[in-house]
Amino acid sequence: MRFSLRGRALPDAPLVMAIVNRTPDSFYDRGATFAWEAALRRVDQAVSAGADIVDIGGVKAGPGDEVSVAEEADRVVAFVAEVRSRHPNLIISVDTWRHEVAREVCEVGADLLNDTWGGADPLLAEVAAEYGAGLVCAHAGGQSPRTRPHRVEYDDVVADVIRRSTALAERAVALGVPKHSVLIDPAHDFGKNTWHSLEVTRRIGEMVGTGWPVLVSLSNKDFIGESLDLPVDERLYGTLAATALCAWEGTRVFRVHEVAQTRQVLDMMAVLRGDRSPARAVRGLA
Amino acid sequence: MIAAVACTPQTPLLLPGLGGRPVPEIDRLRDAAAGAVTFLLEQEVDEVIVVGAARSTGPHPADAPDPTARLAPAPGRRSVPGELPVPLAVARSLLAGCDMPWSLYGAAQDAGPEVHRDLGAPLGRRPGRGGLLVAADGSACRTEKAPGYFDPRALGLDQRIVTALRDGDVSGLAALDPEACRDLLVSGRAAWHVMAGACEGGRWLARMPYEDDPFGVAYWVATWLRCDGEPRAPL
Repeated sequence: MRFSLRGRALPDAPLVMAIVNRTPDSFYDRGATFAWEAALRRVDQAVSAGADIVDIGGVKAGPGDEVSVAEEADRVVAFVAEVRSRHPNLIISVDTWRHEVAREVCEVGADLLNDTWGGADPLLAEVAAEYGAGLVCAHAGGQSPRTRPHRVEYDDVVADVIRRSTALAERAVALGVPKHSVLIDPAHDFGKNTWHSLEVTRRIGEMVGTGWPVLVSLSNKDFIGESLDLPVDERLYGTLAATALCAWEGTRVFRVHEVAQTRQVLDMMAVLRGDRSPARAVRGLA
Repeated sequence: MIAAVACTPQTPLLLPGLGGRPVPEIDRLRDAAAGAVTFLLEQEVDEVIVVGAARSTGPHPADAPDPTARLAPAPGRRSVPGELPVPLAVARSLLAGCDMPWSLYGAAQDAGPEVHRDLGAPLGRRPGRGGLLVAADGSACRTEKAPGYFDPRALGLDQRIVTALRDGDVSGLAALDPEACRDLLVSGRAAWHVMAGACEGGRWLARMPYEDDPFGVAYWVATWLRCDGEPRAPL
């Protein structure tokens, strides 16, 4: 399916979305880019490493200190405006479930709203529609924002993921969000234990088969840590293995911490799939 | 009449294979739970009555399918209709190899305490010597890494539960407040209310061979042995 954001057509190839946390407490970077200058450097580095999209967030996903709407807006709105002025052609996504924050960031140039909590605030999609912004429709298993899964059960987790995420996507389009700007996301580890996230990964092709472009956020997550028994700072290779599988199955957007490494894996997978030619294939052919 | 009780956690981690490869914390817990079940079976009981939380109150077939695929999907493992509620499956897994008849009763997790006394009391009046196996555990809000994050109220509520279990105190279990338990993710409240109903009127010698919260959820393994007419033994 064609994919475009606020009028810009995107290449028909896997895209790298770089995570930019304006948070003091996110699980992986633990506040490394909370400061304004550090966050701007992170954006610049991500772009030069090959990121197609930056995803700016002001609230950590897990439970922790309460972040009010005003505090979240303080963290992200002016920052989005600054990134927009420095990178006029960069696709800017904002990771928020709150429509109030969404409205403010769309005013200053955000292209995409990354609603990781699966429609917890039903007004968010209306804001996307109003501004012609894109929307990521994720599956959080019906859990409230910033809560952890506890003994969650599914008849069939993939069927539930597809049912809920495509229902959100269809609702968004019905509300006026441009159809070619809507993605679906299984939201690994949100409302899922490690077994559920692994099942969603190995059956990601079923999501791709819905026709909606699929985004995955695998980067350094606990399902990888539990699979390999590794702490957060040693999960890169596991992340890239899962990335390769999802790329092979046709996933469109990869939300990541490590941009250059992901870019290289995606480029290699594109060559393996035959979607892209080798850069240079002279060996044995001279 | 209930002759003895074994109380074990209801965590899905006790289902075989759910924790992945062997996990030391789970193995220790399972050993303690298996020990409590062995104790229960040694008390010359005629049957085992299993109680655990469920969507609704009532019996389940003794051979209902395991719910493993609902929690841990994997290639070749698919969910089928009629699967047991997880707490009952956990308790049943501890009875593997047991040649005694067992029956499985779900206790609706959202019902009030009186409903559970209504289920528990008839179980306590059954003829013969019954062994009661209760799958229940405490708050999932004990630490910042806990499933329900940290709630400072959790430790106090868990303390009331552990005191009742350790003292053989039926009224302490019966007094658990459903609303507080729901807020603090105490999954075992309904089963403990049934246990209170089934054990009411008896005097109990209680032991607690296991008490820990390795994953931020309060787990206890306890046994109660009826000691009516005898002076209560020192703990």
